[in-house]
Amino acid sequence: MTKRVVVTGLGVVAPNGTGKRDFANAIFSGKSGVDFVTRFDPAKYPVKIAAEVKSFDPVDYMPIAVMRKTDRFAQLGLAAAKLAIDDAKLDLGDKRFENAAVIIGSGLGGNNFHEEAMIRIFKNDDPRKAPASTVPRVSPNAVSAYIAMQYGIKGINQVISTACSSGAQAIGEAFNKIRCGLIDMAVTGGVEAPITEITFACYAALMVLSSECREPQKASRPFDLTRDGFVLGEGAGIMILEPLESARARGAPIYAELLGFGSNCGAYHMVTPNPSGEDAAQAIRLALQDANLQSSDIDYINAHGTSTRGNDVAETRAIKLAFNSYAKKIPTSSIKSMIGHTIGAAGAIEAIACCLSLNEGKIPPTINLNTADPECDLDYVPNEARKVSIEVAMSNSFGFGSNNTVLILRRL
Amino acid sequence: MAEPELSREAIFEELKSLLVDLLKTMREKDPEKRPVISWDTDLVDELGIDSVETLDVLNAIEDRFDINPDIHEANSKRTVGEIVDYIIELKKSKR
Repeated sequence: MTKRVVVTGLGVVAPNGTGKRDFANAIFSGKSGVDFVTRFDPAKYPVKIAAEVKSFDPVDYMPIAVMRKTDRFAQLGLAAAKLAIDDAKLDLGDKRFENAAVIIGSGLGGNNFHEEAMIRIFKNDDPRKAPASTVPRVSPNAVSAYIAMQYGIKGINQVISTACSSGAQAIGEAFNKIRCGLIDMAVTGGVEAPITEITFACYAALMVLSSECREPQKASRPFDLTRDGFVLGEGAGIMILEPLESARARGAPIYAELLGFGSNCGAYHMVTPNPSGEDAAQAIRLALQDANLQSSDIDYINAHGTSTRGNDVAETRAIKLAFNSYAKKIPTSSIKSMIGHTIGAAGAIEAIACCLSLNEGKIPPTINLNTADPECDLDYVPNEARKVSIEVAMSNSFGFGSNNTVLILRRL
Repeated sequence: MAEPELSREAIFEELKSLLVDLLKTMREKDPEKRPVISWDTDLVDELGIDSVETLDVLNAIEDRFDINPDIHEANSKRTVGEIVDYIIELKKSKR
């Protein structure tokens, strides 16, 4: 007998809004968080825009002694974790949560300090210039470790790295562990802070980023015929998962029940999605099976929708393969049109967006969708939010390395 | 030409600015909670530096004062004043 698992806390630090209220207002009003890069001087870079988290002060969320020892990716994660824990009204001394876990997704870990160390070494031509604190700052599990240390959470502690699906993958893993009774509660989600001099240059070199340089807010245009790549973003999305019975017993807010998790690997290519969409369709089928639902039960799909030529066509095909004739009836939108691609955080921030949609009866739009692509022919909720009561939402996340992860959430 | 000799007070001020910079003490929003760095401030108990940060502080001191502190000996110095005297001792032995 497996346990029913619910979402009881939401914490989000996104380029267009911090905290569930601001973020909800932003995504339902179509607010873009994309602008020119400010974290370093992008003058020499072929790409000059990104979705940065603005006016974020880590000191608002953690002691100075933690702030100074952590990379930006961990700071964003600590902030989102604090927001989620506060939102869930969690008492971490509660006996119910003695066996709690922290399971976080991150595609890249701590780039800021890694790059700083490299630059210091090469500028001085002296390997002894490496700061001693680099390794503990850049380790991907610095984020889960610091969350554990801040809140005294002593159960399973993991960081999962499956590129762009890391956040959703982490939530799926936490979901599995709670329903099997392995853990009593999880602080889970995804984080990323990739807007750093070297990492940004590397993404630009890969030719996956939009080259838009005049109107940053129009650069991310998933499913639009003129789309030319994604916008690199940063942020964190953390949620609290716990069994339904503990949530009810302590009178916690319940945003949604996590119903299904589908995950597979297309074993196709490290960067390019399989254009047939068959592997992603299979992940969708796995999630539907896991949730014990039919195609027609899905009321909304939060798409991976990166705004690259390859993803958006392959994802459209995957949805059509999995849902057949019903595909065109399901509203499907991409909030990456507003927050760019936050890599390891994306799947978690999007799962949070699904929770907000289920609770507010609104579907966030795909902004910048003005020219139809004949190969992208679903209902993408263009440009304006839609008011519609939805019961069940699906969130797609597809990562480099053909990693496909699908989550299904239901309003309770 | 040899560098002019730094006074004990000047070394203290330099070390203080190095610590403020490295330990980000001025980032504390509440001025009342902002640590005051004086001669007898204890780096571990009062400024909360851990074993890894000690290594970073040591590297920064090495760079700023052009000395080669011995890690074990440096580790036995706990207060700002003790470190200032250690820096003076090393600068003298270098001369």
